[in-house]
Amino acid sequence: MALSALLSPKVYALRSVQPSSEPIPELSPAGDRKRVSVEMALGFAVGLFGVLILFHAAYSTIQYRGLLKIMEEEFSGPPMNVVAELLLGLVFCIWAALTVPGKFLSIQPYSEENRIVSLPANSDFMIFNHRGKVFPLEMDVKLKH
Amino acid sequence: MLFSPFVQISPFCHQIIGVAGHKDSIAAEKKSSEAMDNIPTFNAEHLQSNMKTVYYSRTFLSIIGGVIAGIMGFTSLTGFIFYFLIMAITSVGLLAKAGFTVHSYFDSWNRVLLDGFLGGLMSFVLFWTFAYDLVHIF
Repeated sequence: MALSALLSPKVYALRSVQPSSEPIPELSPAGDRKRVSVEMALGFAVGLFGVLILFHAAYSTIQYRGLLKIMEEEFSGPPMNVVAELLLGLVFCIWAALTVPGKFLSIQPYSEENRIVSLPANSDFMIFNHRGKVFPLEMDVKLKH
Repeated sequence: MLFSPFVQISPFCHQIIGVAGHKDSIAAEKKSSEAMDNIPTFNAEHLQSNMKTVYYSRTFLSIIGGVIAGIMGFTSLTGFIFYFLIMAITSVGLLAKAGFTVHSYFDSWNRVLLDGFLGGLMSFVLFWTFAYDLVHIF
């Protein structure tokens, strides 16, 4: 009881030190957060399907070679349906390889999605005497909400 | 106030951080190529992310191309020609993904067309020999 009376002012003191307002929600995307979007999951499924088609084509070719060994003929190339299957698998895998790794992000500093519209939470550590002063001063940048 | 989150590296330094490099905690870094009247700058973190995307795409397609070359039974020169064909198709696909406006996602054409061209060659040869052995020899 006395212990809790001893503890509670400390807890109160701790609580008052914490910042009372929660940080402003950042509207610019954080670089570390990685979310799997619907398109990425779909691309992943298509890629997996393409790889399965390739495995099936490999199995068909193995069987075809077995057949050729029985008939004692030379292997000149896989049969037409296997070639068509390989092409289909290649198309699926190309589509997956272009969709799964993620979208391209714009590198123009003044494009719409690169606007910095919030103060960073560590505003105590911001410095202003860096070399940004060699940038030409643009007076036509408007403040948007 | 507008430039405060951006830290600028030396104006005459045009060094690109490697793909395996570790990113800084600052939200966006800018690089400039000359300290003349207009300074072409770009968001280096996004550029690095775009290059990583290109690298992943090329590596995956090198592996897939290797498996296909092995299944088809390509030998020696035909296989390498197939690899360059796959890389050319990848370049066209990446250009289409960037919407044919390279300058809003990369700083030069070479970075999307030629960057990882020979990087996937070793993976291609590995999976090519692997698939060829699996299908044609055993």
